[in-house]
Amino acid sequence: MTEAPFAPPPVRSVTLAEGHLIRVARAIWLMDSMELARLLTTDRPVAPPCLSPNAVELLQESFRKGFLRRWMQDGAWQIGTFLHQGRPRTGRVYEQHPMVEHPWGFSRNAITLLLWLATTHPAGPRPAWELDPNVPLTVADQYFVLVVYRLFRHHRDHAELASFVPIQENPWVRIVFPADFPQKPMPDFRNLLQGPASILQEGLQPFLEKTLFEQEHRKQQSVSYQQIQARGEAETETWTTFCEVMHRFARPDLAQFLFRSAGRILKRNRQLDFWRRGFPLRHDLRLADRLKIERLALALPRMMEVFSGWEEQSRRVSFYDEDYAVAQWFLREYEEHSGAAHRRTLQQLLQQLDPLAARPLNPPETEAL
Amino acid sequence: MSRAYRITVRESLTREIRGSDEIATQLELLGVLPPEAMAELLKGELRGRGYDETPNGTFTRTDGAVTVTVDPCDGTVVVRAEQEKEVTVEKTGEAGYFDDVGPSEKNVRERVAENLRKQLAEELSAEQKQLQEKATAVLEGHLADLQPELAQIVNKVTREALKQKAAQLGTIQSIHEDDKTGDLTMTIEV
Repeated sequence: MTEAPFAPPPVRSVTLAEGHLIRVARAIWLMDSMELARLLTTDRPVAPPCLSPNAVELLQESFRKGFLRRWMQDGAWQIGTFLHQGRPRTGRVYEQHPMVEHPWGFSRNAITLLLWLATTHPAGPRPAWELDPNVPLTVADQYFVLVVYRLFRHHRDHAELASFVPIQENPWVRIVFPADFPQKPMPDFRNLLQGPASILQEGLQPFLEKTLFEQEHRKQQSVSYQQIQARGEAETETWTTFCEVMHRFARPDLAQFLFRSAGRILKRNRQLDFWRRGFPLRHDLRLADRLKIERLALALPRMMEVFSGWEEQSRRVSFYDEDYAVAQWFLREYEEHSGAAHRRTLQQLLQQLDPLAARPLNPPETEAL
Repeated sequence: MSRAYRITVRESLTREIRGSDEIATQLELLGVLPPEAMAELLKGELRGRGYDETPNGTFTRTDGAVTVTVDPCDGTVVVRAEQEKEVTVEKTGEAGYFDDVGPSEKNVRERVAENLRKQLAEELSAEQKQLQEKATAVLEGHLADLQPELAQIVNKVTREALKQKAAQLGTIQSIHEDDKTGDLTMTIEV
């Protein structure tokens, strides 16, 4: 039996504008900021009125491969433990969930966002990116929005991107960059609880944990008190709302990243000096405002208070209760990642902040005779 | 023939300005006894230290410009410093005008007065800021004295609560107290 000769893939022809679009799509999924800068600083072509079948096919291929590659690089390859119908299961996300069972497709909304980024409008300034009212955003589209936002956060298009409603309503964008959307309505985090969104959220845990931890380190740069306050308020509101939803629907596993990043940052920085470093030296503020802002600067580590509350509640769940397995899973997670020690560190930090902290000189000890 | 005139405008402002600052904390009282019993012990200790009970159940004490308020039910302590004073600021401005060309005397006078009012408002704002900083400084200065006092209150209440608890458990045979370290050793026969 003779083997079929190797057949190279057929060469497909696309227009210059379509080729540009495909290259930008690939650079976005590869998060190749250098290539993207090169592509977007040269003259952006005018948006084609429609795409040829060849271009559509190549774009579909780029999105399909790019999506999986990016998701794996964001941590989906790692082994984790997640709750499925109230029972913990350990393994890689894509082994736990047969991927073919879920619709991972992109809608035309992803392509319109790509067109907005990569091309110019023939009749002058680009109109805002708006969703097709008849086509809802798919989960894959939402992930594309997150990747685009990460990449364009320091780009000149950032302010315009941040003003688009679908970006403001993206749960992942809001979790990672809460301070970019002060006083905007909260996205519905319940969308992350089921179906492909929950699978994606499971796979994104390592990325979310790493990003929050790194951002916390980076943000201790010199900024104004107003910025620290606005950021702290946005972070506290967003993460607290997210945690409330995850707790109410018995999915604490989807908030692992927040617990672990808060723990990591507390483990590394036990002294108040770290949190105050970079604070502007201004003594004209009221003491009340100064203390409030200093507490807000601890927004991420203070999430440990939420998880300590979960731990106390979990301890009260009996083995005949419905959420027993969930509670046990959380207690194990809390113990494995030194939740109690991190809580103590946080309490010490908060006591250092409180100039009036008063407590018994010596905690009572009892000794049985 | 055009004649030049010079006018002088005087403006003054009198305001009562206030600056205040406050911080709140929580007394870390251990739940040795039921909350009501702990609150009663705390009330007794506060009365002994010169705090007055208010109609809403809180205890307050005023030390100069600083007021300390303690809620014995939940152990909340609010320390507030207030400063107020009446400030009068004055300014005089001059301007010239011609009787035949340019703006009229009334317009010039109004413009100068408007400028003066702006300057006076800025001066008042600076005074207000200074008063605010003074209130913060007074509060910070007072905290150094208040912190040990609060620690003593917590310690005293805890010791009293432990004694009552011990009496409930059995017969107290001996009590040794060290006021310096706050140590309390009790022997109970159950």
